[in-house]
Amino acid sequence: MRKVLLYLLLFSLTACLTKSKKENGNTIKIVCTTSIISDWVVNIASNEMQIIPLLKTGIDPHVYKPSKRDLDILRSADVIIYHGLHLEGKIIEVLKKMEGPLIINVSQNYSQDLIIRDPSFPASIDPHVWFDLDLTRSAITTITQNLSAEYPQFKDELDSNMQAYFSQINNVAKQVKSIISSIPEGQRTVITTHDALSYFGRSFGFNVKTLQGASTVSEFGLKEITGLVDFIVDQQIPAIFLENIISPQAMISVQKGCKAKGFEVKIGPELLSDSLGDKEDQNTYTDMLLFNARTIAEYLR
Amino acid sequence: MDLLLKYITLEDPNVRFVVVAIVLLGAVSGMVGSFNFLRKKTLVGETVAHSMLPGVLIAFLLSGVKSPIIMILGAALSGWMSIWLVDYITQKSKIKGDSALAIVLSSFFGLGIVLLTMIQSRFSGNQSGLDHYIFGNAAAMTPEDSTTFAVVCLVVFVLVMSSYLSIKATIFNSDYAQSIGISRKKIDILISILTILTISVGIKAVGIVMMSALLIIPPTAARFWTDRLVPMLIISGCFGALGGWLGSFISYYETNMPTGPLTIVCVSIIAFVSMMFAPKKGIVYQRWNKLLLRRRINEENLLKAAVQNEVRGKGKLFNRAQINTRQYFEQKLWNRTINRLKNKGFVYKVHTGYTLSMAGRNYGADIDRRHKIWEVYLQRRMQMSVHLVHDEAETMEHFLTPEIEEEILGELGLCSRFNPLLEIHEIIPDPDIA
Repeated sequence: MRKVLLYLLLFSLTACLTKSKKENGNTIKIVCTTSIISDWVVNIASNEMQIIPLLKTGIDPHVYKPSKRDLDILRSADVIIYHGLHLEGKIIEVLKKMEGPLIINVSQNYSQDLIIRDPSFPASIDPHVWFDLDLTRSAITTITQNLSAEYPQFKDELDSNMQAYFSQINNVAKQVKSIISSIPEGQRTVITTHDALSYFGRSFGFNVKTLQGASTVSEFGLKEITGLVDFIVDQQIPAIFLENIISPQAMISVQKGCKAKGFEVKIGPELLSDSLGDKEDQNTYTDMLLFNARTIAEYLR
Repeated sequence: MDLLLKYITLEDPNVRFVVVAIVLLGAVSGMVGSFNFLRKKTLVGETVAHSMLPGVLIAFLLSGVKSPIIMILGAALSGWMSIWLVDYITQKSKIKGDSALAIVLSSFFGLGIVLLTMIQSRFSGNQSGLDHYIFGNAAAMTPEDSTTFAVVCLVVFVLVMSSYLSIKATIFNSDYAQSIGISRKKIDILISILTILTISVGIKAVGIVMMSALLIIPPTAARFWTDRLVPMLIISGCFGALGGWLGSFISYYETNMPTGPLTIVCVSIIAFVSMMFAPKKGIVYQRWNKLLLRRRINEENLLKAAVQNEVRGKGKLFNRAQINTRQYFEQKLWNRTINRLKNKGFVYKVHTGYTLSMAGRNYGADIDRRHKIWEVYLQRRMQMSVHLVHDEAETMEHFLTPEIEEEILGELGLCSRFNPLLEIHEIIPDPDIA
């Protein structure tokens, strides 16, 4: 009996060892933490690269706990790309212990002046930088440079893809600007559950107000809710928005509070913040920008 | 101050929603928790609340929508399974009740966390907010929540009223209750229904953790204030409601103060204050009482020793050395005790020593007599050996009341003019006389 157990143990050990050996095929496996990064990489990568998003759409990266399956995916990767700035709370802890794959932190070259910080806690950084186009360009450039350094054979392809993608982003930015400018100046206030749109507001010229701080981990209390209700009623704001990663309960209670004060505020559809959406017009980075702009314009006009 | 006034008048609609709902929830869970607490099954509430997580998540997985009714049903179902499982484990195995509760709690909650992680990583779209079933979001309550809690409150009240006496009998003496034809099983099921009903509607608004706390802490606090069932239910309900009221006030007054956790903090403070300062059962009262008792015993011992000295013909004047031959007093203790006796008028200071006042002599003689009566009683009625009765009597002399004394004398067939001082010499050889 003991021998059998020993063999079983040895067998499972060898199984583990063979599994952890990388497949030496031609495809380069690139694991990206969120759907947003993975869309960037899809746009600049070569066909030889296989891109895997770790988090599906609609999942909150702040509180996500990696499972055994995620660890397997991470271990099997050749390249891992993540946002940094504490966006992926638990995943970053795992990445710190990883050895082997090339790990790219896209935030490494960000210009510090552009980063939004909490005025009362300068150490806390708003990580939702993809709504700022300069920071996005910096992130994509970082990815391209790192990939080119690791795989010089793809350098030209990556560079030309990146230039094409940048011009696409510029085009979309122009469209977003024109959509936002169609909203009357006094009504450009977006209220959402979670402070993920600060960069978006700064880039395209509207105010953002939320219940919570920059991270979904912080809790809000009764004061935040009543304060928001007073603000909405005071400013006669026509609509409030949900986000695709946060429970709608808080916004429903804000809406009920406004109603009890005699002001009907609409609840708009979910804006995309920490991940792309599932639908046709939401599932790429550029579509996300357009979708958010159109939704905001439609409800605030 | 303005804010406090605004809060009390419930002027702001969101304050109204939250306060009404949380006060109702606190009241109903305080009452329901009391039944579990009195049945010595306090942790059942905690186990049931945690065990509801997998039910909620499976309901979501099967239905695919976040409908509150479906999820409450799922919660109730898995809550019921957990109670059944705890009973099954305790009845069919050697595992004790508390271990069974812990096993069921951790396995169900663990399953829930597994399901939650699975849902979060496999399902996209509308899963957001499922984790609120764990920690809740009390600040975001709506009038629907208040209505639900009001209905639950009413249902609980009606169910309790409908079989109040049976519940009472089962809780306090279940064997007696069964002997007069009350089905214990039925009452168990009724209390389980109350528990599950309260928790399953509660967790949607305030989360599992807060529900567990609301079921456990208010009854624990209330128990310090009363020994009777109805006051206990009322006090416990009031504590739960008060905690909710205070918690939401702080959350309304300060920024970034989550309502649910603050409610728990307030309820806990109430429990702590009760534990310390409640009359009769509070720690402060009991400590004080013990101190008074110790002082009284010392005083009585001193007076008794002085009387014994007088009786044995050692004179009316006494000092510490003389008393110490019978009853040892340290210098400090002696000073404190003799000063108290002096202030009470039981002894006088006379140049080199002390002497008993009339009242002091009577008091000391009473104690001495009670000591001897108890010795006689123990020998005659309890057939105790002569050598053992003295130590017993040393304690009992301080606790015998005149009524008990009378009764003992009656039982021994002696009249109250019986003088144990005379009687006792034949029983216990006095060292002085011998």
